[in-house]
Amino acid sequence: MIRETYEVATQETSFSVVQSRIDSIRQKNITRTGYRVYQDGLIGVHGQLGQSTDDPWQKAVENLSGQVAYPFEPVRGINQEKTVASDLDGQAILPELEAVLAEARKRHPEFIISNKINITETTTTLQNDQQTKLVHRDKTLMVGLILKHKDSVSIMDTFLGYRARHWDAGFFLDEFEKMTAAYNTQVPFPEDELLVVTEPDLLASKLVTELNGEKVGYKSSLLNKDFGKKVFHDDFTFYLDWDEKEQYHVPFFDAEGTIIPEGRVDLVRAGVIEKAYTDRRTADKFQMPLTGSAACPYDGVPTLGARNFNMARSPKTVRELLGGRLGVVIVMASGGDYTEDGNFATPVQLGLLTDGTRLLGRLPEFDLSGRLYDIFGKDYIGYSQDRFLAGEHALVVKMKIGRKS
Amino acid sequence: MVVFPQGRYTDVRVEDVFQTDIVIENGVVRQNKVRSYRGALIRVFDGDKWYYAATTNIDDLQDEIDRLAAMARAHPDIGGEPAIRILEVNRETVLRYADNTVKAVARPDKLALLQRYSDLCAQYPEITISKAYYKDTYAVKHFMSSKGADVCFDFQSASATVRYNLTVADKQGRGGKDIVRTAFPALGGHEDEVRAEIEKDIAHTRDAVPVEPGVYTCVLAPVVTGVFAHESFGHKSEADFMIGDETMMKAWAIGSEVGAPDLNILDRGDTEGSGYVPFDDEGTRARCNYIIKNGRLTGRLHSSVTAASLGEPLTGNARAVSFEYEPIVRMTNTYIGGGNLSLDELLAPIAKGIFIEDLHHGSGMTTFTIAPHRAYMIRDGKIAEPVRISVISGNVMETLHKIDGFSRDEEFFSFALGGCGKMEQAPLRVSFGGPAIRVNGINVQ
Repeated sequence: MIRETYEVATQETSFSVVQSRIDSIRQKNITRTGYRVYQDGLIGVHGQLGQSTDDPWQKAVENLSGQVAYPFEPVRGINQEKTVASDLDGQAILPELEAVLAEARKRHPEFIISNKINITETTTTLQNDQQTKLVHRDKTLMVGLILKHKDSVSIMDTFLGYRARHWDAGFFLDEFEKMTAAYNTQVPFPEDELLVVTEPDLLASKLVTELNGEKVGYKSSLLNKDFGKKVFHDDFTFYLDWDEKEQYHVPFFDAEGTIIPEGRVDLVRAGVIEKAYTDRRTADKFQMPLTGSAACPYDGVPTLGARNFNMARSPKTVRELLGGRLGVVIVMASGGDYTEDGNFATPVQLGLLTDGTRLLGRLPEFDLSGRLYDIFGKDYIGYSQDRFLAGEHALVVKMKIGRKS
Repeated sequence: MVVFPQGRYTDVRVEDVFQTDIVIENGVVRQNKVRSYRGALIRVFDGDKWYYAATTNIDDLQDEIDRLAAMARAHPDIGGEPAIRILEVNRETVLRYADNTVKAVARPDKLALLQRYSDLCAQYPEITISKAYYKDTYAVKHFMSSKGADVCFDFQSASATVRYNLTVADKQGRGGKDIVRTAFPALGGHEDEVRAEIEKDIAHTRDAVPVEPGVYTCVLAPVVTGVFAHESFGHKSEADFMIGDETMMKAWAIGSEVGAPDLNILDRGDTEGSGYVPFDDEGTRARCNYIIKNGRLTGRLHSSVTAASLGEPLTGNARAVSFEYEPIVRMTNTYIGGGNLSLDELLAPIAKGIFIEDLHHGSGMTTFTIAPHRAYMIRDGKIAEPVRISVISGNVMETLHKIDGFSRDEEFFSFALGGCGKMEQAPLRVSFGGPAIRVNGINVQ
């Protein structure tokens, strides 16, 4: 019998902002440990959260009776530890947050600021009696602030959101200024066609769904017929990414201990669909390459799941990708979806006009739509080199914009 | 027992949770586990700030309370603070499920039940991937406050769910069926409902054509009505979006006409189901809250802070998704009240419209959205060909005035695998429902 633990420890300081002031502070220090035993092709897992008088290993052994097949050997003989550099201090930051909120109130008293600023540290450890110990630590700041104009009857009018590993009051205030100034400037739709400038998840979610190894293996993916073919744009490459500069709280190993030494697996390369993403079971069952995409809660059996997707960046900035045209930055587009056959549509509650350098103003609400094959095919413009969207890269694409009368 | 510090308001919420989670994928057991834990959330208020700590170290609650109290300042009249003054001091134990808990059901029995639903999926060659989920929760919450509140209550949920991917004539589809009850025995015997759902999804996947985008009169089935109520107006009635905001207070003045004259929207945590919350996470007793009555705004949902700020009564809606979070204003069981029409009568006057039978998800801000699952054209008052729709949407405040028909039968629902999300806290168990309703002027894409 092989024994293994999978542990996720979370320390968090969370600041609630109500009416533009820090209203409360929450502290959390919680460790979740999964005890795994492997025997005769079965896995037994027992989770422990907090105090218990149970022997967790005994409980894990008892759970072998659940008959959950797992015919794979745990990883052996790997010792790696990584702490991503961060200088955040959840205790010391309070006066700084109060100072920037005071400055924000002074600069733009017409906005009511609310919601959360969190500093979260996670330590993920996978350790077994096969001489493996993998440890990953990350600590990030998450700003997620709702901005509501005092004259508005909406629940929220715009949003200031980003992640970082370093507190920079200047960056916070610059982003706040850009967002509020743009919101305060109402602009009509220009006559010329607008390009769409957005964070990629809004449109790439369908790729994540359809490149799931299980879905592909069972011939249930919209993209099954396209593997090995060039169906997307030459410049479009979609990959699994373990680069800490691009990902937050993503350990260098997955929930099975798999490590991809290159730190990257291309799923779509230069428009050609090459791979689905897989855990060990999916890779084995369907004879696909293993991509290190196992995930699970602390007390679960590892299963297929990934969140570290990325797109290859263009050498061009947003301004260069727009090429002299204007674009619309999608700030709030809630509720839309793809149909099964790949048609996307969503209302856009807030779009901001941009020339690729500045945010020029707030456009009226509109509808956005497009086809998966077009969005990443003939209508794909690029993924920006510069971090144009609150410190993140931007996807630039052509889509149908339906203006509301 | 804990000792509450002087000069601060303090409360403690201890949660004892038992959960089972079984997953069968294409007939093979992939997950089969129980989870059992205790955790607590402590709140301390000094009249200026709230201080919270989430902990699993129940033996050291006193240390945690004292640590938070040291961060707060002493307040000579903390009980006179408006948000504290209005807090209820209930002392009661309500263990509704203690004699019939899912903890007492053997895990092999749970697995066997799920296997039956999983096996049903195997009978359909169109299903390429099937996943069957058994989930149950039995939780006991104990809430104590420095004002003297001491309430203890339990909650239970059990569910069997199937989800599947379909390939029909080279077209991809998906679907599923949730069976959510408050006791294990009630999960059995729903095979015909699951079969019916699968067969509808196969037919829809095979026959549906892309919808012609436009503005339509839509009839929403009760499950869609429920999500519409939750998303379109439920979130807008959560008063934390309103405090300190004069514009919102004017726009949302109690008594304002906000919808069609027959429209009633209610939220109540005192009825059985996923939204059952006999006491909220501040110890406030649940009650029936009319949000809209006969088209007029009659109330909103509150925590003690928002109720005190707006000078309105408590409603029992301060809820946290788990012991790791502080309570914020959330819904419980939210629904639209029924009318007097049959479904046929709702459909009859519509020459060309759309019937939304089921959905994937919804969202709500100024614009509400629903991503339909199965939808059909309505032609000359009858349900006609199936259509594929990405999203339907409308302006909340305009759309509530455009509801002109309600069926007489109300139905209530809970999602087995999800719940309500608000900011960082998701998924919160809620229920929702209502009758079928007819809504004009919906944007369909």
